[in-house]
Amino acid sequence: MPESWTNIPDRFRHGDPDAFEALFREHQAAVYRWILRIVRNPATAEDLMVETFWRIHRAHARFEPSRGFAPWARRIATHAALDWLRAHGKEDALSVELAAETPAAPGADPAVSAETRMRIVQALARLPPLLRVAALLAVVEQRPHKEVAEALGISVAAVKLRVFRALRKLRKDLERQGIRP
Amino acid sequence: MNQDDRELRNDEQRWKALVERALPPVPADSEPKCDLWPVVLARIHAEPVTSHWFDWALLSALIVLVAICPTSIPVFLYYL
Repeated sequence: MPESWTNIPDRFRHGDPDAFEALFREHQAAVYRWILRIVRNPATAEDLMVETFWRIHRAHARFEPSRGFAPWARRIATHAALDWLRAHGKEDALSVELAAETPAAPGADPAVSAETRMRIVQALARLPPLLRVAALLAVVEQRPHKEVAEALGISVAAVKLRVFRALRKLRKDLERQGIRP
Repeated sequence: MNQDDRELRNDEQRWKALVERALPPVPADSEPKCDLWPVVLARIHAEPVTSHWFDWALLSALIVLVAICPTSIPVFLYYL
């Protein structure tokens, strides 16, 4: 083994399967949570996590250790989740499965009625995938704009714009249904 | 910032707050229910997708058609 492959990311980049497993063990929970934040469905998040690590494995030669594994994995995971959202249309699991869980969701404000919550979830599900992901990550999950920008491969200004557009669309949709903050 | 801008910003903040209150964030301790490493390995070692002979025959037919009749290119591009 060459001396330059002394650390795990370098070894992974050169195709070492043990290094890949070590990175999987270290980052699997974070990647899973990241995907779950986007798709809001545990079973789908597990499937997409497998898809993400398969894509990571295929792209190992393009990995740049100096830029860190976690941001790179988040970016690949975000694209896998976006592909899934695009393939499953507007009325996907977010609207159906989350709506079913939302009334009892721990951490939700009890002052917001189950009906309102369900309508917000459904309105979110009707957003175009790119706007939905930006709104979920930046507004619901409160992730830093910089992190969201890196994951989506866009600028911080573009994230802010997408969040603004997502909120505007949500507002129009919910106002039509008589919901106001 | 004028009055209208302030109102717009406050309005945006109110909608943001409503969405935040309605949808709780994913718990920080969420994890997959089982070890997915064997599934990842199986996916990696799965047979690569091979193209069917019919795909190649179709592609060849298209190339021949385009070579014989180049005016059909815009039609194909339209349907792509």
